[in-house]
Amino acid sequence: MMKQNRFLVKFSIAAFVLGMLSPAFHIEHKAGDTTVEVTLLKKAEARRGGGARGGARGGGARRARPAGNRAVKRRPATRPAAKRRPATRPATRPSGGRNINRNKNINRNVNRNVNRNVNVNHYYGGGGHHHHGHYGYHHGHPILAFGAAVAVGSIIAAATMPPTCTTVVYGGVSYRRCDGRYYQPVYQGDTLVYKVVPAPM
Amino acid sequence: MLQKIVQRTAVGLLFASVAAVAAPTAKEILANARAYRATLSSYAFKAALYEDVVDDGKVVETVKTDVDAKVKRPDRLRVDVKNKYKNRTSYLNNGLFTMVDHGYGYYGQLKTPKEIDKALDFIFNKYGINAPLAAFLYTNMQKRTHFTKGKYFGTRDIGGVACDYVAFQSKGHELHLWIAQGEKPLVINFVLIDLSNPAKPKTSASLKWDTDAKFSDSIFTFVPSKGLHKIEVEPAN
Repeated sequence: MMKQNRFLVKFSIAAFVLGMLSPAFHIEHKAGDTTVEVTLLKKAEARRGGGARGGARGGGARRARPAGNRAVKRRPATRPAAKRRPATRPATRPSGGRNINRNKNINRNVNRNVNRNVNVNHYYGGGGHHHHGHYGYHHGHPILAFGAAVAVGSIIAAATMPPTCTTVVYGGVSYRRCDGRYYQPVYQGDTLVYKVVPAPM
Repeated sequence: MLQKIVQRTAVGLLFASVAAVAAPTAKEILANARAYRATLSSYAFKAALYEDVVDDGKVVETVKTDVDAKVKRPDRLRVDVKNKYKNRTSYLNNGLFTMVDHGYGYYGQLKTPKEIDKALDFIFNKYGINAPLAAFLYTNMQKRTHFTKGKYFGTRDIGGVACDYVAFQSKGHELHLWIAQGEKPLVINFVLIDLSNPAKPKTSASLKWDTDAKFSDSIFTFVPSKGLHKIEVEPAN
């Protein structure tokens, strides 16, 4: 009896350690096909609506299944709030007379390796910005459509410049002239825009 | 009796764990793909890229872009991009970056570091210029993205190519990749989902690779044709 108990205790510890170290398993049977998936990322395939899109456009992921059809164990939508520290705690905790100013350098390496994980979009995008119903912003100011009551210094979206404008070159600089106004093309980053400028003469 | 059951269960669990350890992890598959691409000194890919456009909290449009990239390390790159808004060729040639907008007749130039990775960093950090599909142009992507979770979903058939399907999560993003199995582990498809936006816009692409591409240097050399005007390039913000 004693021996059995000791064994059970050992087994429980071993099972706990295994459980902590092992990934989760998902076994799926479909049309005679068995798939065993080992996962640390349980939600990923459930969101695979996107995956199917990419696959379909690229010739099709043959085994792509509609998103949400899998029996993925989910947490209930409403779960009890996690235990938190009380929102209001005393501003000064008793220090017991110790010097609590430990002179920590809180400004440590904030700008370290700015390229790291800046934004995954940066690496997988098409290298431009698409806007719908507006033309984006330049230094916090909206890029305007041609035809608006624009003042000198305004930025105009290239796509809205009428083809009837004429190109003029003064001092080696190219401008577009429309209705007596001058527009200087410039790249702001990778976006081609026109700045409304005074007449260059 | 109980002891026997427990022993067998323990053995089963051990075998399952060993099997799980032996299977490739998503991170290993991605690292292998990136390492392989980094060994290529001359290659090309064509991609059909789809990007969701969000307005007022909804995906209102998906813009398709055709991307044609040619890479000749260490210092030459050409990317042609065409979509309903843009018809642009970008060149990196031995420390000179040029972007040409064919529809408008303008081009801009910047002096950059010579090596491709450094040049791409320079135009992004200083001018906010994003290279299209930069993930497939840099040699050191492993150092640039950090994923908190990864999962291997097994083999999928993408247009007749057996691929490893892996997915990753990072802060605010989910990336799904289909990577060809075999000697040339290249990304055939990917889908990036922006989880930080309530509309969860997607960027996806299918890629076709040529790992034996041979280019003459003239492909990477921009020669302004008559009627093209050079204009200034300013930082985006």
